[in-house]
Amino acid sequence: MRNLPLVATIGSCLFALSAGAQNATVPFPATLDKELEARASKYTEVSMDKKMLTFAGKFLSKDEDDVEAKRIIEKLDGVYVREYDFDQPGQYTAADLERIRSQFKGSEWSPMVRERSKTGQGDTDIYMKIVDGKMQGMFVLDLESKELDMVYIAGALDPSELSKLDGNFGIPKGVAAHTAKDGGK
Amino acid sequence: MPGITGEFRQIVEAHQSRVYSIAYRVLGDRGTAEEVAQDVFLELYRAWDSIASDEHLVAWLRRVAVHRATDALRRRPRTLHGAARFEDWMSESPREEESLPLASEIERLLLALPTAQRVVVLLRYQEDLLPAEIAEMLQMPLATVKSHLQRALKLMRARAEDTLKEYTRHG
Amino acid sequence: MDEREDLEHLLRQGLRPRQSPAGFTARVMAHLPETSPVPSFQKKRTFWMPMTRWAMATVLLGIAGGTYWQHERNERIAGERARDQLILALRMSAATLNDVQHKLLKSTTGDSE
Repeated sequence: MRNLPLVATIGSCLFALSAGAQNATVPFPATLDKELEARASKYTEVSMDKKMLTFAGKFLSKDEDDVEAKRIIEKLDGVYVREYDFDQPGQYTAADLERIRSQFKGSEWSPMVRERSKTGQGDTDIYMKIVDGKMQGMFVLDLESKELDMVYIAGALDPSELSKLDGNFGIPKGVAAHTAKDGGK
Repeated sequence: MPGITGEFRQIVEAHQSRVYSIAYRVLGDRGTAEEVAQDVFLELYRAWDSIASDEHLVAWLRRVAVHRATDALRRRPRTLHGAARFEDWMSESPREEESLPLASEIERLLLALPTAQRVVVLLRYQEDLLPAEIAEMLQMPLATVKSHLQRALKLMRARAEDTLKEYTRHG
Repeated sequence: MDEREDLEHLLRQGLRPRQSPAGFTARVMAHLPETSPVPSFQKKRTFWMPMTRWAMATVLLGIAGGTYWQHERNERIAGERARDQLILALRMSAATLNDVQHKLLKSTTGDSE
């Protein structure tokens, strides 16, 4: 069980056809983006709703990655990414994290992963949105001492498909193999 | 014509290490890297009269070497990609590689990166291009280049914590 | 920041260009075509007449279709930007998922020891 890649496990449990919501409400607290931006030494924010995904999809080429991307976005209603890098630890607070996590306390969201470190600065949360038994979204909050990353994907998504896009021959395979080699025997 | 050939030979001598290094570090495979590097120079020979200056020449070589190498990478069957193949090669590497342990370690880390990140790291740290120059060369948004660099350094740092400690200046 | 500088320093050192295999230049020269590259002034003379006609036709078509072309071009530029943003977003998402996977695998294998 411990050798099953996480994303494949989540994908196999939860992947389903989705009716797909046309409008994705982004579950980031409204002012938190700006507050984190102000504290970050570097940040990247990308927001693409259904309209933008459809428009961008028209310009995807026959290149391998683009073909893969086109297949993924067909089922999506939005992709929203926020990455913040800080000069020092402690630039985001427990209160900030609570504001983020409180967005997912409704009945539609189920916590799938809740990893906590002793200091609170290596935590990971993954939430899935399930409506009428169908997956309609995924939210990832990934923390390091000087970094805060959030990914929200609205729509039906197989996480294992998405993770392929991180490399055309698989950082995931390399990482999994590397980790298994070091810690699995 | 001997004049052109003689001048061309000098160009190959002057730039062979750059072109070969780009190809080798994208592909991780010595044999294919040499083929690609040769193709780059043959293409240069055909396009010779379109080269306007030394600066143009260097930019041209970089661009074509990157494109040819990434094309060659895409054409290869997936199972031959990546760290496994490179490490196979490393086990039979000639003696000169043993005198460059840092280079080999860095190349090993580089090869574990996704292609786009690897190319950006190469252009930044081998070719010493600025992110804006990389963006223009690869026809990529500057934000994407910076994101690739950031990700790549993070990945390399995580993988290299133990192995590169002996090379660092600070404990 | 020291860590980053260290890594960048190592990358610069480790990525100094390496020599190509022995005999590389000779092999390149051996593969050169027998005819020399044609100097550009000769190329222009050979292709001048048909090129002029093509150039004139293109200019006329360009004037006629100028507005439409501009609109298409603007749309294409916007579309390519959107495409780049999309790929960036998907790659960042994938990378975050993979980081999380790596972290969790690490902690799982750590816990089991």
